Amino acid sequence: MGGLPIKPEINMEVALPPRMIQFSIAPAHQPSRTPAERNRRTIYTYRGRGQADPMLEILNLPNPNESCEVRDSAAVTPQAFTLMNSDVMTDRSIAFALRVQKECRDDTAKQIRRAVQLAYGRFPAANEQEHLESYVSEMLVYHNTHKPEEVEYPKQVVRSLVEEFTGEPFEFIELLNVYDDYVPDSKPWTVSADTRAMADVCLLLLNSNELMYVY
Amino acid sequence: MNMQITPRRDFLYGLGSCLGAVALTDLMAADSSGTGPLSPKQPLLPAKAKAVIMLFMEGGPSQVDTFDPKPELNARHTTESTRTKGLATGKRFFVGSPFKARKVGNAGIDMSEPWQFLADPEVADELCVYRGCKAESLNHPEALLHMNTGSRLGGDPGLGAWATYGLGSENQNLPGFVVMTELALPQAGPANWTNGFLPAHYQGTRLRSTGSPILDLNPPEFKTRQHQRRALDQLAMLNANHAAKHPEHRDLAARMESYELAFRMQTEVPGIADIDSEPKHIQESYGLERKECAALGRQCLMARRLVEQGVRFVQIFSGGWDSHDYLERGHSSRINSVDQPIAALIKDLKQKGLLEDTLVIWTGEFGRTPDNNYRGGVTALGRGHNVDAMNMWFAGGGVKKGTIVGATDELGAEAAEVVHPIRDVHCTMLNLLGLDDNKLTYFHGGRYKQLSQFGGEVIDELIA
Repeated sequence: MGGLPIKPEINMEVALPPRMIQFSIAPAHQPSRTPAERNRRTIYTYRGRGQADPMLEILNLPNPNESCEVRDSAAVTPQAFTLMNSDVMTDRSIAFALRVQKECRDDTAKQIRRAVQLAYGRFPAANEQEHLESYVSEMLVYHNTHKPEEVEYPKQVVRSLVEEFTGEPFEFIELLNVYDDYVPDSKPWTVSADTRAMADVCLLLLNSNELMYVY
Repeated sequence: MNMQITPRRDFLYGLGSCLGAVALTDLMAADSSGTGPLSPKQPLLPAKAKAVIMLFMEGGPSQVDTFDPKPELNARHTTESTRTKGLATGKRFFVGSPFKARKVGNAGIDMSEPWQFLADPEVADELCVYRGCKAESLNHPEALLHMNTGSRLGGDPGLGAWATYGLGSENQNLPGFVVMTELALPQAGPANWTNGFLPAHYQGTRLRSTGSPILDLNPPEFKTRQHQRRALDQLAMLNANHAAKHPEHRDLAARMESYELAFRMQTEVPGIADIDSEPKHIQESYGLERKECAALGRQCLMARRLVEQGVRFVQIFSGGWDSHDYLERGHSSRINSVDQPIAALIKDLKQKGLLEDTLVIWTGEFGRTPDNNYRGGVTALGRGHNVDAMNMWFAGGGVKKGTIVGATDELGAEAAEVVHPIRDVHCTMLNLLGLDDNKLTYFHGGRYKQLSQFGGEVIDELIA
């Protein structure tokens, strides 16, 4: 509870492109340096008016300029893209998998049971348990033959915009200092195929209607 | 049963406002007859345009240096100006246009000389130049928000959000409202194409010309399409278990369908973005081989492809029009970058038979002053921001062809004839789409809101 405001990781294609602000262009979004600092609830995050976190935007983030009596709960396709495919969600699903693997060592069935309990607040039904167990073993075979490539964080970014005095496009380099001594989250290429297979289950739980809707 | 469960609070609110409630009921009825919030809906009025392509020149293009030449201003070049309006302070001097102007096409539309491709009679005779609009905010972000959302404050839905809310979209495998930016994002950023208080279905989707065209369109590289298919099937199992417990909630099925749509879009969107499949001569006509117009050229070509596929609203932002100091260099270079792509777009739409029901809008957020101020003792030949006069043009989509509507005073400083605020331009756009601003409402913050904020008029002079 409490603490300093933080900057989460957001989609790099949104964090890095130049964005016009009055008289200048805005600096690139750089996340907080360590996982403990940046992986926190949204109530702790800085909110720039000019560039919201795209993950929150697709979930009907209210506008910061006015009061909001209700948030629309529309389910839209960009949500599916972000929640299934984004780096942020990949990292969260791996962190989730690592947690249940740590808590229930070497017992896939128990790990699944624990993951469902954490996500839904109930234990899995027999058919769910059975389906998810066979899904994990299938995914383990998959991940043993599909090794992820390492992706490095950029240390700088080339920015292009139109120069006001000449009307010509120009480029410059902005250094992204935070990545000099950045502490990344666990990544697909730093964990085992076992973990990636369990992360596939965790990703589905995070995407499922039961987690999304509270009735 | 074709019934929607309305939460008690919504029902009570609904009793409060009859006019809006009627409109809402219409929209809900339209919703339930189709399959989703983006299903095509019948317009409320006879529609002249089905789609809109809006070309936004960010920074404020100068009217007297583009489509509204003023010989009287040129005659006063560098003489003292006693005007006091605008942001500028201190002593001022008039700035004549660095460009010659001429009348082009059979219709005799005024254009400054840097416009070469747009001056082609085949293109120029399609234009409806409007000189009567008055903006309200002198600062870029607020002015952009005003032109793009109807409110200077930010947070209201973008034009494309209102249009897709009212009309849905013809193609369910593509976003209904697409946004592209030539280079940098405009001031005020994505607030210019937000869904605001409307449901997130109506948010503008930014299509990128490099990298993935839509954010997170595809999974990380180590996950194949088969992997994703398998994951979706497994997800469907989890969701089916859950839905069986909650048969009364329709949104559960809708959410599952949004995942399947996402899966289909993964193949559809790259197809649309693949402009290399266009014939060579078409690619050349948009100037893709000229470095200075390649970026906007690709986007204009993409805009035609999107509209052809039934996308409702496409918006393209071109930056760098804020010529405070070096007007001649700045504006000639900007015009040079956009001239060929825009002219090609109009010709291409026309040849494909799309122009008659596609409304093309060219505008900035405000106009520019006829004078400049001395800053640091320098006589810079540029112009300040001007909310009292600007120019914009329309083509296709039911507007009058080869026409100039409205006029500014002899110096191009202030709109003088057929004068209307921005909200009337918005009402006119909605009218051309077959929508009535007073009926296209959404309940938010305790009242029914509309694009014009509190009503406006249609500018009849613009409509054919």
